[in-house]
Amino acid sequence: MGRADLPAGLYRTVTGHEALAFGLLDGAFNTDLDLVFCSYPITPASNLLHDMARLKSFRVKTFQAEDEIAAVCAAIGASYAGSIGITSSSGPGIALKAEAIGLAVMTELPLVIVNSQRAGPSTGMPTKTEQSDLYQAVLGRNGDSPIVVLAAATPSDCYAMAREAVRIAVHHMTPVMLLTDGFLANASEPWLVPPTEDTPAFPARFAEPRKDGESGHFQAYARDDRGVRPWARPGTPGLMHRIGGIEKQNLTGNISYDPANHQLMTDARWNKVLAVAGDIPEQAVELGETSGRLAIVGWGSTYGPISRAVTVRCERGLSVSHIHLRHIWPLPRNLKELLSGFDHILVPEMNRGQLVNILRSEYLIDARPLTKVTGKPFHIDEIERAIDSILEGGA
Amino acid sequence: MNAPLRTEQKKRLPRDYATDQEVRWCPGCGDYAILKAMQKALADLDADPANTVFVSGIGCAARFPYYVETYGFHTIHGRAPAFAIGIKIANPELDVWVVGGDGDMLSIGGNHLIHAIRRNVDLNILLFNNEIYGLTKGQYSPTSRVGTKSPSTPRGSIDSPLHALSLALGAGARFVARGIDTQQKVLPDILKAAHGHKGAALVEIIQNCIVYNDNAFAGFTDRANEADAQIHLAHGEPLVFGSERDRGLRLNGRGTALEAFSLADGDPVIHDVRDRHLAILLAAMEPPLPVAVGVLFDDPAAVSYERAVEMSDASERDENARLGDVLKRTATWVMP
Repeated sequence: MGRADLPAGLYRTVTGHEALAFGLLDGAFNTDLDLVFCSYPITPASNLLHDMARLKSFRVKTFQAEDEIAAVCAAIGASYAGSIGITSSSGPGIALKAEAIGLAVMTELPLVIVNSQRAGPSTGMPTKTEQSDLYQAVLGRNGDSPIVVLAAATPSDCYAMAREAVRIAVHHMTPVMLLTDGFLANASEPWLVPPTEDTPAFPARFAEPRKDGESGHFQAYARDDRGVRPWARPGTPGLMHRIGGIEKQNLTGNISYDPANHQLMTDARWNKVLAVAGDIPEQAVELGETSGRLAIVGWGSTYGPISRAVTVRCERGLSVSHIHLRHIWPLPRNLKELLSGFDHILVPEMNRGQLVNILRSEYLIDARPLTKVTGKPFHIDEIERAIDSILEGGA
Repeated sequence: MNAPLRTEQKKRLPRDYATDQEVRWCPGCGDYAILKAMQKALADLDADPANTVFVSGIGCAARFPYYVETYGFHTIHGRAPAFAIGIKIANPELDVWVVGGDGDMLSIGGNHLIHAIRRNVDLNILLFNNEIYGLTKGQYSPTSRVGTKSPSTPRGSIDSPLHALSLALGAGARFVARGIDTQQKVLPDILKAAHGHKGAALVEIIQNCIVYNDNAFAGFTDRANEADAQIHLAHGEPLVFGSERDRGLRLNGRGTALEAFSLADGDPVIHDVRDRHLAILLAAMEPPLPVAVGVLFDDPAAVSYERAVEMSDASERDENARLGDVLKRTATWVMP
């Protein structure tokens, strides 16, 4: 390989988990919130807890809970109280957190859940890498309970996506799950040290205290034009209200079993999450043309091998492009149109084919899977051969 | 839902802590009495509704927050203490009450209860014990006595019950108390004592489920025999009970248990709320011994959990810390 062609600037090395910690902190700084990080030890996610515990010179509190469930519940409690609550785990731990994440969906509180994915169902192969929790992230809760799902592509990208996770969670009052994996979390790479803000760039907004004599009830579920409800911190005079996991009446937040109201609230929760698509970048093409014969659509830590394979095949003059999703749910608003410009779509994933099915079901397109579940990342030549097989009918 | 803010500083009344929500417990449920006692305790404390949070899990008891005009969070089954810990870590200034039943706190949520207690988070934890699952229609619970017949144990339950206060003391509790739903003169003071304790405070409230376990506690709560079947505790006072106030409690010969005796035969033990061993013996008393009511143990630690977290964090916090500096606090190089 030749010399790395990197932009000019100040560099350091960073691992995925370090970049995650810095990015979460940056998100908390820019939302002007205390960060309460609640976690339970699990491979390969524990490093993030260790990193956060070393950032106490900032507005960071860490809590090692008695179990995975308590960790997510404490994080939700912290968000309820006006901090940004964050929890972190890997697949089996995320499974235990599912019910509580549903409560955060129902109560429409900000929450960031970092899933450092590992291989296999159950205990699987804890030290090996995989991307098989995408369905769990997007769909894995009872009821219609949508959340925002993001995925970091590289160790340094963990920084930007962690910051993005906090921003979206706080400004859209929703749980956000950030997917990384064992490979990403522990890999390191040169990192162009990003500029940081001196003042919060996107501060959180809380419901204002009620003035003496102001009449009428505080409406905990009155939405703004983006479908987002107010965040009313306990301790705020006049905003006393009750929230919980039982279906709530629109506007007031009182318990309601009214059929039409449940339809309305279910739709409102979906629409609120879908509206996040208006607040994220349009999908760009990493490499190659914006239309052509073949799009390789990746997500997460497959970035490296896909990028190399597409670079090599582009140099040979093949019509192949690399598209890498960082916003998994909702999908970027231009993605359908972008993908429609390609004759073929190939989705390499370290699972049995999860993103590919979501793309197929969302867009009714003939996206094809390239799957691998050995606990190891793709080799570049595995992707090169797949490109060749589509574009050259096998080579 | 929200009462208008007071313009003059008049002391709050119990009704100021009532919401406009229809109370959905069964007619005759003991929870009504507990709610009344709670609203009286809040009024006596002149608790600031804006600074007070009720957190609950799932079950009949867990409906409680909807009926108290404060902040309220009705969470998921068994996990209320874990949410409450997050709330206290985020904002130690809030006054947090946790409410749940025996199934919620001792079965599905047993783990969170013991860890909230052993960490000594400043929470007022109210465990409504009716020895049955009410909301799910009458299955036996972790506090049901052996032989309890229920839909899931038609021939009687086999498993031994948990004793909430013994469990809490075993987990390192520094405040345990017991109250009875219908005792409106006693229960508010117990709740206030729990509130006054800085640290985890567990109050077991004996609560009658009129539908699925009616009269489960009649053996010691009936007016006719309560004086003989209960002992009401007061710090510094002798352990005396009985309708004639002529019976007391003393240590048995080996000092391993409390025994009832006639005051004519000697002097009773003086209650000391800082005596952990005495509390353990009091918590273990069951009929035919009198059931202990009141504060069994109250020995606050120097500092509660969330305050310790706060102090530890304060010692590390640096107002001048900048992420940009931390990012460069490692080997760096410049790429031309």
